[in-house]
Amino acid sequence: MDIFSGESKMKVKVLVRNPDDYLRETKRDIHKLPRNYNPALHPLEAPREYTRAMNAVKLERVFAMPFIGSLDGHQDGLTCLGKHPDHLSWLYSGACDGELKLWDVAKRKIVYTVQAHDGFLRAMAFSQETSSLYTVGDDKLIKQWKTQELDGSDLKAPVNTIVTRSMLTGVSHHRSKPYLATCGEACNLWEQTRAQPIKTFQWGVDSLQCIKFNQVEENVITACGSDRSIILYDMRESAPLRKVVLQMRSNSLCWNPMEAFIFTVANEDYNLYTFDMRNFASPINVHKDHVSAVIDVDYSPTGKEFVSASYDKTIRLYNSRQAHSRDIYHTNRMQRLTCAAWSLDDRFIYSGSDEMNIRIWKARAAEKLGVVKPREKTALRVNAKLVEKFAHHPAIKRINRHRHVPRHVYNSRNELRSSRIAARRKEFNVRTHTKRQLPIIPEKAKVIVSEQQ
Amino acid sequence: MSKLKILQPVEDKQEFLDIDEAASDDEDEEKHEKLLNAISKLGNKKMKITQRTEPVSRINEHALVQIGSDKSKTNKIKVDDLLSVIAEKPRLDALKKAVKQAKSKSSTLKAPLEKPQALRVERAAGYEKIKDEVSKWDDIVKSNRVAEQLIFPMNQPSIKMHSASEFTAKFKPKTPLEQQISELLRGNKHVQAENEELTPAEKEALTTMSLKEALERRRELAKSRALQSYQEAKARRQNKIKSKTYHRLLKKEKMKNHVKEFEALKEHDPQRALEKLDQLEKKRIEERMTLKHKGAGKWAKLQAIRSKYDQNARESLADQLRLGKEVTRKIKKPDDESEEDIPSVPLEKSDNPWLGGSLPDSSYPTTEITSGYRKLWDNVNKGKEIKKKMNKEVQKTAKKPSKLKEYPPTDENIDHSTTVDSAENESVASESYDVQEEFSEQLDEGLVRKSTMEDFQQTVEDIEMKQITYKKQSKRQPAPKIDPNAASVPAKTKMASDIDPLKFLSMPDSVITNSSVPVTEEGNEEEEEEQRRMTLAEAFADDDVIEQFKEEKKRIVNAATPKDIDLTLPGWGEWGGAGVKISNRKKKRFIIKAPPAPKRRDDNQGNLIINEDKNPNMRRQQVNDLPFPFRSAAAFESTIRAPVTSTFVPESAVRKLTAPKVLTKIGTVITPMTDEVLISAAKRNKETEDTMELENSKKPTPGKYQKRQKSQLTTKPTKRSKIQKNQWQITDTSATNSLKK
Repeated sequence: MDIFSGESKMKVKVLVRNPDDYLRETKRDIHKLPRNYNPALHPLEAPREYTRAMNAVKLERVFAMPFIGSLDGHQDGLTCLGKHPDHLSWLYSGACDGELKLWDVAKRKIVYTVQAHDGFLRAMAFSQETSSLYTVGDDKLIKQWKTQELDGSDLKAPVNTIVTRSMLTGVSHHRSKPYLATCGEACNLWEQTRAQPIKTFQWGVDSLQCIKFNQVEENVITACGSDRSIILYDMRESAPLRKVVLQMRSNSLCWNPMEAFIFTVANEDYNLYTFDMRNFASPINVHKDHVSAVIDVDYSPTGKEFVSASYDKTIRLYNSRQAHSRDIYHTNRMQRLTCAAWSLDDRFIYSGSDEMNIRIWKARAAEKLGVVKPREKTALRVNAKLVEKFAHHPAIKRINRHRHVPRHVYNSRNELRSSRIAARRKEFNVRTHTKRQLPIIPEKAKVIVSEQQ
Repeated sequence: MSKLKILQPVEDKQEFLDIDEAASDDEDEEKHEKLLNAISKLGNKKMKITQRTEPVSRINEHALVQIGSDKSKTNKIKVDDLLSVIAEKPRLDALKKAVKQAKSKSSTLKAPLEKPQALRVERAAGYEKIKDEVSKWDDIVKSNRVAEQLIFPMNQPSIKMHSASEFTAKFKPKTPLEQQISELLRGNKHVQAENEELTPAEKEALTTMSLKEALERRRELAKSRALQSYQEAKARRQNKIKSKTYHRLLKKEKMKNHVKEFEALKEHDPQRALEKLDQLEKKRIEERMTLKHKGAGKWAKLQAIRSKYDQNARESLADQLRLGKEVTRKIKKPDDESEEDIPSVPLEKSDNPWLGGSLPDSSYPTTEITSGYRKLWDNVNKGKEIKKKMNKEVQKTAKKPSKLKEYPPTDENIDHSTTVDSAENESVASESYDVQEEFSEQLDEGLVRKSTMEDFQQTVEDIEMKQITYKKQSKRQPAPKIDPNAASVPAKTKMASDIDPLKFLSMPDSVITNSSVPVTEEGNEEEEEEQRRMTLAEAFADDDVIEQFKEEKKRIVNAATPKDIDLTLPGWGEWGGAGVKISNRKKKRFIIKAPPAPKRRDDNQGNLIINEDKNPNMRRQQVNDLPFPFRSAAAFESTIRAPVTSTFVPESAVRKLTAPKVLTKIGTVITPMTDEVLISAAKRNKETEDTMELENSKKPTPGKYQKRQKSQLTTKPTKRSKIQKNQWQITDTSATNSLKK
């Protein structure tokens, strides 16, 4: 009491707190946590984040369940898959018995089935302009189907059928104009309304097994030949442009949808090769890891990744600029793969295999499919970032890269590795014990046998 | 029909067959003849020429010659034959000439390339063309590859709010009616401009005055102008007045007015009065700062000279001095009691009249002042003499460089004032004087001339000795507490007899500089240091760091030494319970003796712990090689050190740091790249160029613009560097170190 009355006033310092700083307005608000971000106060930042990264990478592996389901219904092995350019849930599939099926992927049901060809249905291609589907089969026919009806009833009969003289193995459609390219004995260019090809490109006598239009630089076509070659065409020119011969045959190829001059080929020698069409002297990247011939390849619509289907009963996912796969998908019942496709929303992968099933996979194995709330989303992003940050630390790297693979894959991988080591050793020995200086050829360039013009 | 055929691709072989067939149909005989001919000519190795009888899709390159050409070589029609027919008609002479000219100039074209070669050329050309064409995507592809974040699908239409003014700006009147209306509206006073409440017309209406008001205003203005001119004239007149008395009176009046005003203010407006007081005070302070009344001016000096003979001058000088003193007197405020009582004017007993103190003896100022004046003159004269002598001395000693700094030996001749000064210095810096004296020996001994090298050597040695002794002394002084040698000092040991000298950390002796800094200051510093040390000691009085460290070492050493393993079981084979001793027999049998501890590397190292066993578990967690994209370990470590979680960095930063590289929208088809990307990029570039041009046009000086650009350029990286700095700040070395270990 004296404090206030007397002359000698004593000052009492009081901490002042504004309740707005630490109280929440409503019950649903998040509690405000005042933090001091001074790094001096957090001496163990890195170790704590390391622990979090470790947990994150483990959780990612725990949640990595890529297989979503299978589409069962074909009577024979699959040959090709077709993604409808407008409808994400529509998937077309062709089989060895010539059947064409339209699937509703979301419901995992057959929408429509039609006997499209006698013998194999080799390939299909979509025309977005006319919303039609072109199929080619072993019966030397090109058939055009309409793809507009929701119940798939327009698949009842083809709109147009072209009878050709020779075998057809592949088909591809120009992105914006009504041109169709087919391959077989030669590369033929068709116009929608004509019964005869408007152009024929022939280089050598060997047949072609795969042809693809470039989706970005629209007039460029590439095809794979059975003489181990890849041939580049320009639709407007009268002759093919360039041919490059690899050591083994390429089974399939796919253009990068975001990079106009990049394409990847799936080769018989267990590898995939990414080429820049301006430089055929050597591929810009060799994608390894498969232990048997690679049958099919398809880019993700973002152009950052691609999926490859192999004869070794596995699917592998690659970053388009990395040599080794980032993931491998396989199941016990999945047999030799014949085709693979990356869905147009970049979330799913479809694979077709010999044992008549189409399988649906997640593009990112640990991704959550349901609704992700904002906080969960940020948590997932932070986790991903942490894993990326500490990806080079051995413990985390080990967990992050560890995959269970089938026994045959494991064994043959070891076998291949040992053979590669042996080859390297032999080369070294030869180099050291010959007087003549042998030219050093980079590993990438060894694949190229010749580039013809 | 023929068109269709051309469209059909027909291979060469088939073509050959076609030709053969066609030939067989028509002219069997001729063909036979041809064949015979061909056979007969096989020996001559001439090319066999196939012949064409019917238009086909492709013309054989070997069949350019007409059938039967070999037969009718003589029958060939030449241009001359045709011209000879023309010659009869005179009006076609010109044509004849032209043909002749053409004939003289013409030469045969080169043969076309072989088909495979031609194809090769075509292919190469086509490939080059497409290469160039495709390269236009280079930039966009590269930028996409390095982009921090890509959002798919690309080329989403940008959402932008269009304002009404923007929309109307685009509108152009087309119909005559619209044009008329726009003409009416444009530049009309009644159209309201943007961001303004009133139209120009309305504003005008508001500002305009009535006639009466205007007249009144004019009258007022005229009046004020007249008043102003009167005032000006008056001021001019007054300025011309030279009378001193007048001015004095004026001043007094002014002062009076001021006082009156102040008084009035005191009563009515104390606030303003205070302000006035402050102003006065400020004036006084300014006065104090200047040398106006201190007798330093020209006038004051003159007065001083005159004062010897002139009473007036003397008085005015005294007056001036008094004024100065009054002004410079420090006003003691009643409230600040903390300050010591200092005499308002420091009165020094010196003869200098300018130093003050002459006020009490103002009764007889003449003698004082004159004596002071004489002294001043004397001083000046002497100073000149000294200068002369010094110059001479310098010329003399120029040969002896070691003695250049020597003070002139004519010290005694300099008058008292300087000696007084030196005495003062002595009193103030007595300690430093000793030191200086000692060191000045190096310089002072110069009176005896040194001729031999030995002489020089000895002096140098002497100096060194002295320096060393001095150093020792100085060393002992500042840090007596921590010096273990200080134990020899008896007083110290008495005071802290219970302190173990080994418990002190042996610190390096604090370096004493033997610079010319006076010791007084050093003493101050020392005191401060002492105080600081004391406070530190107080602060850490409780935690005994050395003891702790020793304990820790002991603990570690103990943990490292193997222990005996005791396998005895109490009560097994004998009585058990509290206080029962284990028999020797049992001890011998069941206690396994540990081997002697291996020698430690830090055994005799004192205050040092060496961790000898590596931790293999830690090793396993470390990164062995530098990961691929990094070029230096430091860069990699910095990325590890920069935290990304919200515990360590703000939420907004986390959001930025963890932004995914590729974002896709659920349920949306991502279409392949289109030309629009290129076009839009080009457009964007063009737009930016346009804006830049606009800016250019606005700013007529290009130099300025460039400067601005430069500054922009420079500001950007600084921002980046700031961010990096932050990252560095956040980083923490100990954490990574612990990780590495």
